Amino acid sequence: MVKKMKFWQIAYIVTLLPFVFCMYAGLLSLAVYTFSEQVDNRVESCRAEFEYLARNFELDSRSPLEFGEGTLSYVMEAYGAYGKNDRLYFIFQKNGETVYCSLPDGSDLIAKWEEFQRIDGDRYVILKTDLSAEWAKEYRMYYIRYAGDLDDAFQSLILLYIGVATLVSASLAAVLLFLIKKLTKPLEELEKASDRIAAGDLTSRVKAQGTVETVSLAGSFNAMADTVGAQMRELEQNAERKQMLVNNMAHELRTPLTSIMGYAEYIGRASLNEEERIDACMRIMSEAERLKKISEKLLDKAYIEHNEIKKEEVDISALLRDTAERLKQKANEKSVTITVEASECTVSGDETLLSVLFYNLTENAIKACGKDGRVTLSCEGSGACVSDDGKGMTPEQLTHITEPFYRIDKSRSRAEGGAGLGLTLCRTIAEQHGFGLDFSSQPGKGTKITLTF
Amino acid sequence: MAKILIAEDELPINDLIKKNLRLVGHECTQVFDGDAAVRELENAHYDLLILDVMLPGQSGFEVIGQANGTPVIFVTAKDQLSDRLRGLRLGAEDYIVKPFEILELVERVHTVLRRFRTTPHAFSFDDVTVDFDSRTVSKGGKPVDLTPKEFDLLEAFVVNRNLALSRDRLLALVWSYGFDGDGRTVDTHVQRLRKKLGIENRLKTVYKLGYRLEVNDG
Repeated sequence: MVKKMKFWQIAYIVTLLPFVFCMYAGLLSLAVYTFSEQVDNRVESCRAEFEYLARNFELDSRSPLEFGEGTLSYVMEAYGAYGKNDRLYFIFQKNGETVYCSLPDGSDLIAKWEEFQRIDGDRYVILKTDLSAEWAKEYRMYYIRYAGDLDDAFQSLILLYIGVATLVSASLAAVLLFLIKKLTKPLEELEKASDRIAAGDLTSRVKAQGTVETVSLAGSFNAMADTVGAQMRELEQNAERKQMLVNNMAHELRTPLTSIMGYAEYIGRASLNEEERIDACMRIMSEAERLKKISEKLLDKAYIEHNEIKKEEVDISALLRDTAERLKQKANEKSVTITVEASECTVSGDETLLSVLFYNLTENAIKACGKDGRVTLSCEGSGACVSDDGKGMTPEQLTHITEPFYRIDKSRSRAEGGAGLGLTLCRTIAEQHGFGLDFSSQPGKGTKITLTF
Repeated sequence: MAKILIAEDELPINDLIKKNLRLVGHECTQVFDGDAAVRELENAHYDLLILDVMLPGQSGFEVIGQANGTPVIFVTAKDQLSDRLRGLRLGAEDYIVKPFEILELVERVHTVLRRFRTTPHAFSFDDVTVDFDSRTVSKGGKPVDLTPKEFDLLEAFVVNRNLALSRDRLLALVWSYGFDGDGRTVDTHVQRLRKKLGIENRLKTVYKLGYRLEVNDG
């Protein structure tokens, strides 16, 4: 299996390899070009020398007219001897026939004649010319000069270039590695931070640094981490709330259940007089009533939460007056006065549910009031208010009042027959309508509940 | 018999505990919040405190720290293991989860009282005296010869007096669960007890439920 490379490794290789390849190729071509230039120059200079030598040869060998036939061979020998020290060789042909050769075996050479050619591993410049002097007309002269030094120079040039290229490549590799590492460092940090988040550390963040892209990526990453963290917290809180609801509900259900079972057992096991028996039965009935109330409210809540509400025009002022009327009896028992200050006001909503909402709020307000308290129901275009001048609540209590089964004073509120679900139900109804439900309260001064449409 | 303080904010449950513990001969005082419980413990000596965990004011977990050696039985609707462990770690003798059976409550109260040796040594009704230390019974001053099982049965009736006990429960209490007998074993023993002690008018048969020892000592 091929191991996947990291971004910085790929970037490194992709940058370094072509550069190194181009540098080697460039330097090698340069060396080859230099070499061919040198060869041309050498051939040129050799040609000049050869022309000079050929003319001299003609002048030197002119003497057959004076000294006879042997002169030519003598001059050839002289030239051959002159050149040997300088690794310069001559071949003379007369009518295609070799008459003199200062090389041990020169015939092959002439057969595959080239200006620049290799003999036994060494290079030579080979030139030829047909002599034009009257006395040497049948002769052709070959010029063979050693040029192996060019090969040597070429080899050392190549070695030099390779050395230079290697040195440059190595330093480039080092500098590039440093630069790319530095450039991809933000990415690496991002990777580490994601690993930490993946491992569950939701507080992990990255520093915004590096290029525009990495800074913006870091920004997005941190924003994502924030969102995930916030959602996790919300989920946790939700789960906690649910767990608390279950715990509270267990408690709320067990309490009346204990009384019901206990008194039933008591009636069965103990020998009771008529009065005791009736007392026990009454308790069973009232506790069963309490259970019934809790289950009804829970069902209401579940029903409201899971069903679309009907939307119809509801006259809020009429609803408030109706609520006040229904609770008049209860208010009178506590000497509480209910005042309705309602101007014409209609909203779109479910009349039954809104009626339940105002009934619960008003009932709570009456419970909060002392003797001779006042409860005011009011509404205007944008909202409705239920306020009382009762005992009020602390800010701490305010944050809990819509939680199921939360009671500020549990013995008192149970004595008054509350299920502990009234405000929870109100909140659910308000939420389903998309209305805002806000509580403001001061201990000792009273509470004001505002429903914003 | 024992002096018991009941700290429970639910009036019906508080009354229920009081009524039943009174029937079996205990003397009960009722308080409805944590602060009152602490005050009451400072003012008087109690043999046992029956304590609700979720009390207004100081919670049961706070009250137990100020119980000064009074044995405590927690009564609570919280049945999570962590709560139970916390209660026991704080030094509670026992832990009763609502809803509970009355006989279970009576049994646990009796067990804790016996552990603290605050159960009475003897119990008398009419001319019968039951001596729990020497495990003997006398009627009109004369010893009555009872078999060990008959004595155990009588003791169960005395501990749960004024409460009807079913045959099954009596089997469990006296013969232990492994016993391979049936209701008729109980019936025979009850007949013999009635005859030996002459308590036919006290040890009554209760329709559908079993037997009940009716004595007025409260």
